[in-house]
Amino acid sequence: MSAPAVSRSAEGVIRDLFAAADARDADRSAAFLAEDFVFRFGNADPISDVEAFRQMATEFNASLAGLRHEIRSILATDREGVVVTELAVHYTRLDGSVISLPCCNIFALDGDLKVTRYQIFMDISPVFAGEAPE
Amino acid sequence: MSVNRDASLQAAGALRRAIESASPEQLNEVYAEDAVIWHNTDLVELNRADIVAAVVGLGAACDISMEVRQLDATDSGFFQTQEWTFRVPSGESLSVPSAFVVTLDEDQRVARLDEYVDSAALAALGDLLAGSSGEVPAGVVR
Repeated sequence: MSAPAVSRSAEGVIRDLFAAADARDADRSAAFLAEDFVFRFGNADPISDVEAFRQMATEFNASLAGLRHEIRSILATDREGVVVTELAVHYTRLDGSVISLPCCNIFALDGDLKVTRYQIFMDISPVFAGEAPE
Repeated sequence: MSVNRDASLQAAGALRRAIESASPEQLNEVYAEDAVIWHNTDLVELNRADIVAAVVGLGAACDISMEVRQLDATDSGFFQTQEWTFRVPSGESLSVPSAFVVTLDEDQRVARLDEYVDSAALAALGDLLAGSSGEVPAGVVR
């Protein structure tokens, strides 16, 4: 069985989620999460509590002047509701400098198109170290 | 091109075995001749000879094992998350999580592999290898 195409609705949810992240609106981002969700950013501890997610998102947003997710690809997998995205994420630091970093996210959506798993694979350290990969 | 799940699982298993063995013959078999291997930490595209040399060098410095956490077929290959474990002769080891986005060619060989990993983990690997042998294999830890 080959992977089905990403459903228009799943793709729409993911695009809307990134738009909420780009708006740096923690409440709007949290609204995409299922009651039973797991969020994990890199090697950080997983988060499965919505208030902890809001707090993390609010603190992260406050550390930046801007954020933009540029979707490079959205890959369906053969597991229902599981979608992989490859992105360039453009971060504007508080000093106004911009750094762009590659990122890979994996999402699992339930039958109501709520996000049950949101995992981010990337190296965020250059954003806060003031260096870009060469 | 559409790759079926069986072909993806087979290719993923062959890739894991080749990397764990650090065998140049196996590695040359799983990667296409014109394969491109890219890491998010340096954005450098390695060719097959580069990655084979890097994995062989790494395998000479430590034991490599890979525990696959998730493996899903995509239309062009597979997506896999894993926990690498690198164990040096002194017994010290380091675990590093990462994700692969793999494109397979028509012969089910790896045509492109994008690996996403945290640079802090790679720095720790560099420290582990340097502490063990004083040398860090080129091409792996950047």
